[in-house]
Amino acid sequence: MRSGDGLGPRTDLWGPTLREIVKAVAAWRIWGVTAIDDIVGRYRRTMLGPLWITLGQAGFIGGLYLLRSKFSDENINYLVYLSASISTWGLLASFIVDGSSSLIKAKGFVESFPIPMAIHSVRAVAAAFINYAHLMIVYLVIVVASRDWPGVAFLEFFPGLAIFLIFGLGTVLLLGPLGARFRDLAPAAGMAMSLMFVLTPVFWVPEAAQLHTALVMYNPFYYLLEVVRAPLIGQTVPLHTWLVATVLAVGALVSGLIVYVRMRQQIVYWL
Amino acid sequence: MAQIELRNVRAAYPVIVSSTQRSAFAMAAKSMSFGRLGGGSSSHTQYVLALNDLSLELKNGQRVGIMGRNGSGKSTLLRLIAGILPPSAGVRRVTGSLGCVLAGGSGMDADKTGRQNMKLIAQLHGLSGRSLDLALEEAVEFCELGPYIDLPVRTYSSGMLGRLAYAIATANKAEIMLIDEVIGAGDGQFIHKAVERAREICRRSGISIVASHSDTILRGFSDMGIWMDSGEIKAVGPIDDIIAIYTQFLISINEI
Repeated sequence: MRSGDGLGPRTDLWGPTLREIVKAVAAWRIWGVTAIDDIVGRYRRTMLGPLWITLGQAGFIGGLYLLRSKFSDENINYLVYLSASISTWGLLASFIVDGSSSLIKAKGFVESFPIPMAIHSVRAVAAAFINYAHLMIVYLVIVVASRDWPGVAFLEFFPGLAIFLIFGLGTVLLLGPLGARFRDLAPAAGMAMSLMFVLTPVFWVPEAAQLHTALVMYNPFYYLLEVVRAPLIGQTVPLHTWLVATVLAVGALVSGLIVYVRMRQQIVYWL
Repeated sequence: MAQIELRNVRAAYPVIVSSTQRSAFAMAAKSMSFGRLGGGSSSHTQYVLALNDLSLELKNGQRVGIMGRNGSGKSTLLRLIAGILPPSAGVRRVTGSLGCVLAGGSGMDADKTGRQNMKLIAQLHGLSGRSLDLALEEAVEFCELGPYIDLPVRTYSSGMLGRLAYAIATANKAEIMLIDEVIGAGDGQFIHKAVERAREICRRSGISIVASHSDTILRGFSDMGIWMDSGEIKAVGPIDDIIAIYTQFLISINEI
């Protein structure tokens, strides 16, 4: 045994680590297959399989709809709002909570095969997205059934989703190594997102006055949620919201890359 | 052309045991309160030096057997060569594609069948399309697991897992084979096939490295031996000589 005598890992290997991340993103077959496994695996040997995800979502939305007078007003199609909102929040929460445990969960793979470790980060984003797709089935069913088409604003969904996914990748790259080093990060992230689910306008529709309170204005999750949700309910996204969301996404990616590069050489020693 | 070069490498595992060191909040509280809050454990992290200032150079065609007591650093060395464990210090240069059999069943999904696991592992090694199908067929035939190949891996014994892992790791025509003790669980007939396979890899300008406690496996798989102890290489030479030196050492410390 030795005691802290300069046995330091390299924290400046930008070139090799960035190349590893690029190789990881390019290895779509590997993260694709493992991400699908992650989702399907949750419901293996059940009767309905991944359809349970969709049904769970439908149940939750149905329950909230029964309380609609408390959370929304008449101007909005609350069912469409709910299905868009809750699915998108689920994706966001998954980036943060599952992102924190992404490398811990991959311990078996990491220790057995010499594949780029960042594959497990991309895998976490992909798995979250596949789950999101299952949840959005409910949204599609509701839109078709109520014939409440979102209109041309819907096209803004795609760039909005792109910003969202960039934020997701950055967050997973940031929280994965930290979660491997500090084991209370994942449970803490779970608690924090539970709280934010209530404080952020997810299942409640903010009145005009509420939009200018600190809770909404200084809530980063609100902006990220809006760039995806607004097009889904047929509203165009304000420029201010685009800008804040883009800054958040770029910020997440940059800090994610910095943390990942600095911690990469030590992660295996912590798993 | 396969080549392995390690220069003065170290592998230092931080010993993070106390709940304080594991918790982000405790660490934050400690640093913000200048050490008063957050528990009284020492602020210097302890390290276990699994590999200590180790240098090694291996070239094409070399078939190496590593031996040593438990905890001598054999598995750590293999993982470092594989690129799974980054060195805490020193330089690692490895050229050539890798095939690894390092951890019995932990890299596998217990609910999937042997065939499905092999397919995923082959994909992890970069195979796809036609070459993937060919490699799979060959691996299925090589491991001789019969109907078990289509049963979930949770039904396998450790010997069967070893066969499966070895079969698929060697099917992708890797230039460097790294095998860690798992092969010891295989029966005599399989070991014989496995040795032939390793010989073939080396004939094709590859390198094979096996870590084992078994003389039979070491002699079968290797021409050259390395004896490790406490994270250092103690002796290198022809396999029979090194086995003799190691056995002598074990006798001298009364372990056999």
